[in-house]
Amino acid sequence: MTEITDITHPEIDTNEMILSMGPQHPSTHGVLRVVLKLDGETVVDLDCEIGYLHRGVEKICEHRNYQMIAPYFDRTDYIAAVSNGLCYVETVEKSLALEIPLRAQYLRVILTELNRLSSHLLWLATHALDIGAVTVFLWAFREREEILKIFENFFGARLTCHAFRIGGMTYDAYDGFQSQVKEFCDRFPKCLEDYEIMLNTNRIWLSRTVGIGIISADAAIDIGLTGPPLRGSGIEWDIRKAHPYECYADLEFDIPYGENGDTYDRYLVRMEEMRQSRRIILQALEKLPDGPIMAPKAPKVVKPPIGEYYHSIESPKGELGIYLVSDGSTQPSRLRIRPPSFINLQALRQMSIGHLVADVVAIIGTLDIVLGEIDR
Amino acid sequence: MYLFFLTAPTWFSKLPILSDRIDPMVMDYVVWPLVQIGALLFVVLTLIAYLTLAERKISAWIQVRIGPNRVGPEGLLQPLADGIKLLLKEDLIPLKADKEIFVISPIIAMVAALVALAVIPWGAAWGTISNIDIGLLFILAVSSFGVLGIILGGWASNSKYSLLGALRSAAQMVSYEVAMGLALIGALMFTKTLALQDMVISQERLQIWNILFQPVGFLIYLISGVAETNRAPFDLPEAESELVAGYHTEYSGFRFSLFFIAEYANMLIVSAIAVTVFLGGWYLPGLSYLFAPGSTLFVLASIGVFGLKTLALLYLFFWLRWSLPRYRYDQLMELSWKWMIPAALANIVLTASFLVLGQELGLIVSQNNSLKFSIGGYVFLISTAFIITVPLIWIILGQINQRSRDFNLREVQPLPMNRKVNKNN
Amino acid sequence: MAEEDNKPQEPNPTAKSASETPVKKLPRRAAGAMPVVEIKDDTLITTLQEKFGKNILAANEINSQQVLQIEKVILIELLSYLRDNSKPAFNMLTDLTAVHFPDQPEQPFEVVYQLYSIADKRRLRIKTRLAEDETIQTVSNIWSTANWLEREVYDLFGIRFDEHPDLRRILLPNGWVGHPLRKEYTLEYQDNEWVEQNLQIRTLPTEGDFTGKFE
Repeated sequence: MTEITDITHPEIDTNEMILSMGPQHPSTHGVLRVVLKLDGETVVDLDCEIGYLHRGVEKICEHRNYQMIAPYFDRTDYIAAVSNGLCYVETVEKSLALEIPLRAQYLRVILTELNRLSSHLLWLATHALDIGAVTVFLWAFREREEILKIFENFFGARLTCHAFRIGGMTYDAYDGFQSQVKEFCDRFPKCLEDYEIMLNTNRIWLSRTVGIGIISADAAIDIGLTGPPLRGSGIEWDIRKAHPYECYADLEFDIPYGENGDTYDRYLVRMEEMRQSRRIILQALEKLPDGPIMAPKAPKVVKPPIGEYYHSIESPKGELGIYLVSDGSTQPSRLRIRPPSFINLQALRQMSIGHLVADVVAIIGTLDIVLGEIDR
Repeated sequence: MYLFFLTAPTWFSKLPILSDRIDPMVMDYVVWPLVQIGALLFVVLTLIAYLTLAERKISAWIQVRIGPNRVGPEGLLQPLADGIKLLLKEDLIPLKADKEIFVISPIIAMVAALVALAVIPWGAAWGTISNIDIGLLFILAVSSFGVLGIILGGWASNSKYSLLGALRSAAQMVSYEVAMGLALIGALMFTKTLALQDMVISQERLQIWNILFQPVGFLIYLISGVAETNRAPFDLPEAESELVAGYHTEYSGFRFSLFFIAEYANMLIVSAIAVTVFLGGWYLPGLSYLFAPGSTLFVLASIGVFGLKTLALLYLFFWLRWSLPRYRYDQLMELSWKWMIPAALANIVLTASFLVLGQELGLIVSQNNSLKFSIGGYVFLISTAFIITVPLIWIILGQINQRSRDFNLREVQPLPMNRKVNKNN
Repeated sequence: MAEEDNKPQEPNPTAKSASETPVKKLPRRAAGAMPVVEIKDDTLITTLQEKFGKNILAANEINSQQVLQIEKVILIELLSYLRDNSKPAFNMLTDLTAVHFPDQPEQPFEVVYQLYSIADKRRLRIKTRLAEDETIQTVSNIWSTANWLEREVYDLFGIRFDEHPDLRRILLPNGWVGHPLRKEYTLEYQDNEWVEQNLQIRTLPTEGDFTGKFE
């Protein structure tokens, strides 16, 4: 374990207590073990133990055909399954140099942004629940139910959807898809306002989140944070704007970013991202063109050419990247998933040291980790 | 005047079951109080059971759910089902736990909570069981006794984390008891008595509720009451179960339900005292016009009024729990020692000064150990309470807590978006 | 808390495993290759080639993504230069991973660094080849994000990083033997000793009559 060189009171012989926040948690972050070294109630050092959910997805993918790999991606970040599927099919399509029809692109964007909304709603629910605002948990799940119903009507599954195929999509929008999504988007701003009334100016919420888990912009880039944690520290960078994929270049939206890099700023960033996602969905619904949803030249046997390709998208958790090394056969030689939560979780140590034990829970919540993605 | 025991009502003495062979003194001092106590325990324990259902239902409605509705019509038999379930559970005592203390600590907690019910003025005349002359002090002492049950519960569980959780709970309860006591002193200056029934009678005589004289005191008392009973937003020692387990983790079955009853009974007592001291107890301004004072109907109506007020405050308890996030432990203790207690002390000083000033000005007359106000006196006291005391206390708290992080929380700014600024990243 | 993993990285030769094909063979009809173009007029790449000379083995654009193949010796110097002094400063290490090519036995491992410049929105991939049992310098002094990423590479491939502050297994349990993402590690193989010790799951012999044995 790394050396701890500064103890708070060197002249008093205080024993430091080692406390294990064991793999089983009341909060629903998954199986993560955090070993804390405490001086009284202050965290002096922290070590994360992961790997409880390691299923060897990368190894399995080396023995599967490209179409068979796609459902595995639903199970890595099981909350943003549609997003993960998007990253994978885009990587394969780009290495095949395949053009996707415009209608499929717009549908993909709508569904991915709905998935971003549902992932952020789950984040809000669990984060508020950890800090004690139980009611927000149930209200956010009510909204999430609506989104999952839309997914169920579209794909047949609520959570692990296997949404997209290489070359486009399998299912076209069902009758009533547009009206259902539009109705949800019309209802959504009022719900967001409800959450903000409960939390934004609530003195207790401010006490628990302002100034907790501060990370500066330089430290954030150094530790490799991406996504809302990076934007909360003041860096305005989003892959949807920096390297637009699908049809994001034609859609108008803003990137919110914070200033102080504390938990409250990350909370505000994600709340605002939900609003922007809604904006994207409404624009895409208007601009949705008619046409085919599957590329005409989509191959039945997918054999990307020999070489390598790295592609990344902005998943709700951060930059999700896939590095594909292909040897020309129907199975990849190496499929590396760059998990945003894995790299974000590294920052937990430096964000928590110096805070109290009760803040560690808040900081884990604000990083928005999914253990399926960390362990793969 | 202190009525230690209240005489039995005439309709009770004349009941055919109790023949004339019973000595009137025994009737007054033994039989009637026993009937009262029996009725009170029955009503209160049922009320506590239905408070659990009320909490679940109210939390469900706040969270856009329905709540228990399977057992009985609209879930009304749910407490019965819960009680039976808890009774039938296996009686577990941890292997290395201290058996005797493990058994006794929930009993201590519950007994301390229930004993305090004896002196609360539920209604006028025979609606009260006893009216001892140190009523308020008795209740504060007995609720401190309940803290012992919690500490013993944590100790007897033989778990390092249970014990730490119990000690934190106990420290929190003790801190907020100081604040509660100090908050009550402000109102005591108006009632000039510690006997609870006499407090209500003094408010009846003055035809005013003490909350108009002591808004700050009421607020401090209520907040401290929520913290005293370990309810949200002050329930960190209970809810942080992943790190420091609460004192009742090792308890299951009926013992756990005893701790539960103790917690809800404590809530009931805190609400009842708040109603008695600040909200006028069973007194409602028009009550004596509707029913003849002293008649049976009047007493029953007064019990009803008291019940409604207490239930309103209990609803506030539930509402707070499901609306607000939780305070961290150090913020909780800071709230007590740096906000509640200085505010209560300032309240005492200011109230006393205004009372003396009022007496000097002739607006208030103190005779026969009770206060008499002229109209000017009412106006003076109420206006100084709201216009001078409240802002002054807020300023004092600001001065004390200037370096407190929570006091200086920044204002909420709208989030910047896509500013066209070159960042050197 | 955690012990260093000092065991040799050999799968247990006496263990039985279900699948018997450790190495994939190339198919008879392979697809074509991705378009590979040598980078000609890019100021950054030219500067790097002037600075590091022969040690940059190749600078290509594979499918429009810039890739540098380098020798191991200049790794720290090059990456520090790219982070601090180069014209588009690559301030973020996006990913660090490895690939195993068993059909190139002199240098089967390739360590891949994905760099990114936030200001210029530019990616760069740096690859270096390693022989079996060859160690490589850690870059966790340059970017702290490399700490866990290198631990993962060590865990799954067995490549050791010199001067890494805390090199131990991250995804697999501490006592595990073997490095799964190597190609000779079969898909259904597991460390039977660890599993038996910690999960009390015994592997059964494939022949034999088991009636009445599990009462």
